[in-house]
Amino acid sequence: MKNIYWAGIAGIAGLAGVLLILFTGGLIGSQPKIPSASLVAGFSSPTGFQRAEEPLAWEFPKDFGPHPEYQTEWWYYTGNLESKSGERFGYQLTFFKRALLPEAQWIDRESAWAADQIFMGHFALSDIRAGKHYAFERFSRAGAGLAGAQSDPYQVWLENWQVTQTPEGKFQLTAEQDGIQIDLTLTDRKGPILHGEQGYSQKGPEKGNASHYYSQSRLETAGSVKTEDEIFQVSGLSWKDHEFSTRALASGQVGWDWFSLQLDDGSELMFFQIRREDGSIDPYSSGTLVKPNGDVVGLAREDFEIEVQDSWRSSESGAEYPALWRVEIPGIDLQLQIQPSLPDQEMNLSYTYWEGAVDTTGTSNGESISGVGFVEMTGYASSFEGEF
Amino acid sequence: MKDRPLFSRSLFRIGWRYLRAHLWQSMLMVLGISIGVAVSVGIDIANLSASRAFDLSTETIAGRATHYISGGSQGVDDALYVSLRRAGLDIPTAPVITDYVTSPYMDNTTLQLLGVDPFSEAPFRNYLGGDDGVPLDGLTTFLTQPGSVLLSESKAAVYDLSPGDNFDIEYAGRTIPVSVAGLLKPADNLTRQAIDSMLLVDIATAQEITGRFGQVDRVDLIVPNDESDSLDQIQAMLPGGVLVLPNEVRVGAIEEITAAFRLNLTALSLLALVVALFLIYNTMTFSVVQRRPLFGTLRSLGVTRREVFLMVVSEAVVIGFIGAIFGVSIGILMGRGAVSLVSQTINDLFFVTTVRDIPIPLISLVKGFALGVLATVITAAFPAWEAASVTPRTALSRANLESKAQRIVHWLGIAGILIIVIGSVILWLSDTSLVLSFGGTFAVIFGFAILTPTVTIWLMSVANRFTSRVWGLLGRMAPREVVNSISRTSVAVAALMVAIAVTIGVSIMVGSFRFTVDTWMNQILHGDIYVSVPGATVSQPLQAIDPRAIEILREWEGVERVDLLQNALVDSPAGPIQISANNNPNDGLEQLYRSSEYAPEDIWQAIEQGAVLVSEPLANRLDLPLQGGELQLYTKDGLRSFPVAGIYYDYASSQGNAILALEKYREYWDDDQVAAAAILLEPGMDAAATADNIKLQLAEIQSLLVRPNQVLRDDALEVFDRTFAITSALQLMTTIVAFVGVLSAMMSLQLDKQRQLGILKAIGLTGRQMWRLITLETGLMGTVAGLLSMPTGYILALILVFIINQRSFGWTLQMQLSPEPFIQAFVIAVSAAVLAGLYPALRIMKRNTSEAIRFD
Repeated sequence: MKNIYWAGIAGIAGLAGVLLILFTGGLIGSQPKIPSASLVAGFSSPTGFQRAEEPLAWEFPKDFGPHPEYQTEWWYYTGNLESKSGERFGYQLTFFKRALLPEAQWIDRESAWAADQIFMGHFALSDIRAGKHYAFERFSRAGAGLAGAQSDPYQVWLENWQVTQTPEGKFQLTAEQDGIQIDLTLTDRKGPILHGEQGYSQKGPEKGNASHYYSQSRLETAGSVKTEDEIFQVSGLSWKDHEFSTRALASGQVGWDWFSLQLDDGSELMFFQIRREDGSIDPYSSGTLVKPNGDVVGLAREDFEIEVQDSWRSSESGAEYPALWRVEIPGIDLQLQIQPSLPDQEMNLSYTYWEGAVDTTGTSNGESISGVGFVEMTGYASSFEGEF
Repeated sequence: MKDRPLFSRSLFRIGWRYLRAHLWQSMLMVLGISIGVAVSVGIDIANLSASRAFDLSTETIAGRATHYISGGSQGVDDALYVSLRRAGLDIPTAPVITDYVTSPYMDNTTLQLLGVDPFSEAPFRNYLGGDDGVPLDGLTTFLTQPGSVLLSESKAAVYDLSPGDNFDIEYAGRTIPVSVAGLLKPADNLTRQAIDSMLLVDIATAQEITGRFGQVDRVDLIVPNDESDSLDQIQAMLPGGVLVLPNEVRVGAIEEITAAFRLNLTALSLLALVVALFLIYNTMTFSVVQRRPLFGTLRSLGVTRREVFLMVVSEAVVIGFIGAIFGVSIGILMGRGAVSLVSQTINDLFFVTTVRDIPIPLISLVKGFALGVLATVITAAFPAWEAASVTPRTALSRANLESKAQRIVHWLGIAGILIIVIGSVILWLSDTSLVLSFGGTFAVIFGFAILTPTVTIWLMSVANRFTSRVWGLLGRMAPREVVNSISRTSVAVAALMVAIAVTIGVSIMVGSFRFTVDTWMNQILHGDIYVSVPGATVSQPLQAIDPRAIEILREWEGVERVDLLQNALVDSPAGPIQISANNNPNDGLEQLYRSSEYAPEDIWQAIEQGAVLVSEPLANRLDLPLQGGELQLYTKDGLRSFPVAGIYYDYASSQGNAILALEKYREYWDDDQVAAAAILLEPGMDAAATADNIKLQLAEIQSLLVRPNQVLRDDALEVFDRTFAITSALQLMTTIVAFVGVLSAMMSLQLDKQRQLGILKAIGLTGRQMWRLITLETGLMGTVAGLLSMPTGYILALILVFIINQRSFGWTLQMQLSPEPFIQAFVIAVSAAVLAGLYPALRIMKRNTSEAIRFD
């Protein structure tokens, strides 16, 4: 779900990056505010892009790769890792792609630098025991080989942040910045999981307010992470989201909470709720349960209940985020308590949001159950409404 | 002691009244100081502006980069940049393409094309301040549409352009349509100047405009001082021939080269001030001499020496102050004119600056002002001291002063010779230091100047024999009058002499230079037609001729041979070096050698085997020995030593050139481009007509400069004359200062003699005779100045041609003597002097006798 919103973020933040650079000489760290009105004016009505209006005839591994006919696309990797000696880590490596022009309007230019798409990358590592959270951001054009995506073999990269398919079903993830590094091998245990209706995930009342959305929900992970001063051999589970769309969002939404959980009974759970400005939950919120055997059960807005039990205030942005949830899915007799592995996993980048590793415990059909996962929360530092 | 200050104030009032009573004299003093200050302020402004413009251009382009990755003339493979980014360097890197384009739409203004990748720019360059400059639509256009440019708001306003508008630019003889994607709003005034002549484009667009596909000019880096490890790490990732170099190498080399030029201008402007100082000295001395009786009376009344001294000095302060204010104001105006002249010269000789309208540097004004006041006060201190040092009794006697002056004349003569010798020794020993060289030159000129009284007295005794025979009594009186007031006449004569000598020296130097260049071009330009790409720099074509054009030239009917030349800037441990690689087999024979390892007919063979020829300025700059030198250059395979086969004379560039065989150049640098072609026609072909035809035919491919030999030479001389425009302007200013000086000195002298002349009139001298006496006197002084300025000017020319030029620019010039500068100088000296006598003569003739005698 986060997909749709990221559509806007990818594009706007990408161009915001360019704007910041051109207008102020950079200094991303100082977080100059982006003039939102002009952003909307610049991108409110893209024409000529393909919109997600009906289920796609999926074809893997081809669809792992890029879909340039859509305006926005991203590849989103998150995961929970643990070293042999018990140090725990959460990581996020995301590639957002924004097309500046529909493919049909691309001009054949002689320079290899000519670019009609831009990439934004976010890379974060949570060192749970040390209580540290590192977050980085990058922009690049999809030109001259600096950044790009391809399907054969599957590869997405932004400079030295990249994911590459090695043999089929195995993926190599590497990223490094300022000494923080991940080098992971991901093995897909369940294959692509299609959300919504055959991967057609409706987000709003309009037919085109939707995205094509699938996940690889159980990626067994092994490799190494490097913090400021140490390298750890780690293993664990990763989750991948891949989503593409054009103008999927409806108005009146201020933010969202997205959850992905990998439970120790072999099942996974994804659900999100869109928060409206009147405090209500948008009816187009939804979710997916992936059973141990890979069977998929769709969850509608009324199938799950989320109760916030605690909160945490960021000293950097001043935003107050939920920090403890109780989730109930009566239809499958599942009750879960979800808690951040580390309170401060705020991403203070071009946009401020919270994205981090969580732990969960609870009961499923009366049996106790536990797991790990990732949560994303937007619209807490400031309303996202009107910006997307 | 309370009445002391009161007394001082009345003393100052006495001084002030004197200045007001002698308004003419005071005004001339002010004028002299003003012009002297104005010239030095004007030149200082021009110099500072030129170097500020340069700094600003480089800063804008270099931004906060500390180092850059250079691949030499061929730039850096852009895949290399991508691989560095993909290797995850933790230091900021940014690709850059820069070049110059002209815009016919903007009255052929030269614009700096700056191609960057906006995504990697953040740490490097600040273009803008506001947050509402480029709308997002514009940014999408900027990245996705070919030919999209961002330009400054002010430039756009001048040429009535707004986002979405199209206009044409020209690059390498091609016309390229571009469109305004957005406007740059500068953060501050300095940024505004820096970006005012800039076209900011995406790096893809830059590649498309310049045709440099697959490459960038350089990759900027920011490496903090304490991280030399990072430098080594990057260098280790680069292939041979691609280097990490500190930015100072690039900037420093150009600074160094223009420093000599700027110092030369400063020295010339100081000469004008020196001449003005003579004037101040002369006038102050005169005013002191005129008031000796007054000072005597004051001293008798109990005024102390110190007070007399202060009184005169305070007068000087007032005069200096007023003069300096006027001078600074005029200097600002002059500076504006000089800036464009200096920028033009720098553009022609060194590098392109597109930055204009530099604000007047405050420091120039402060310097000029301080210089004017200080110089006036120091110069006035001598006569003030003289006024204060005499005893009350002797002060009242005018005769005492003159006899004292005549007594020290021969000592002055000895001192003059001594100072000339010292100056020569300084020149001899100073070796390469330009400041010392100019110091020596000034000493020599000063030495000649203080020889003036001795020479004047001697010449007057010679003149007496002649004038007395022709004009009788008057002819005997005139020379004697000159000698009798030697303390004042000689200073005026010296001032005029120095100014005229400078005129002679500079004229001869420029003439010799022009002659040398002309002779040199005759020697080396053997082609019948020269083809090159019109570019922003005059002296060095750097943009490539389309290969198809070369093919057409080769096939052209009546063409016997086409020689190709490629110019390139190649990196070396000593900074970038200009390479001229050609395949003209006669080139070895066509150069003029300062020294060589082989016979001229064998030199080209050595070049073809990998030796190089080094131009004289380059050899000087690199300190190469006359024999057995080696030139180190970074080739694509790394640093390589090239044996130097000879050092040749070259006047095309003061940075210096090296000649390589085209084959070898291509082998070592992988560059197939051609910047110029020399066409040798079969006998009987008409060069001018053929050139026109070729130009016409090639226009479809590329608009090229196709010039017959003679036209090329004329063009080159035109550029030459343009570069010396500033020199001529300075020369003129110096002469004007001298003229004013002489005018004021002579006038004061004659006005001072009103009473004496009145007596002469009373005893029966006719107006005609009076007229003749005064004209004869001033004419004699002018003649002395004119005569003495000839050897002085000649020696100055020798110094300029053989020492200053050699040390400043590394050029050996041939001395070209012609009588014109000498004759011209003599005529100026005499006519200035005669003219200066006109007003006093008129005045004395108008006055009735009794009034004249009653004077005082």
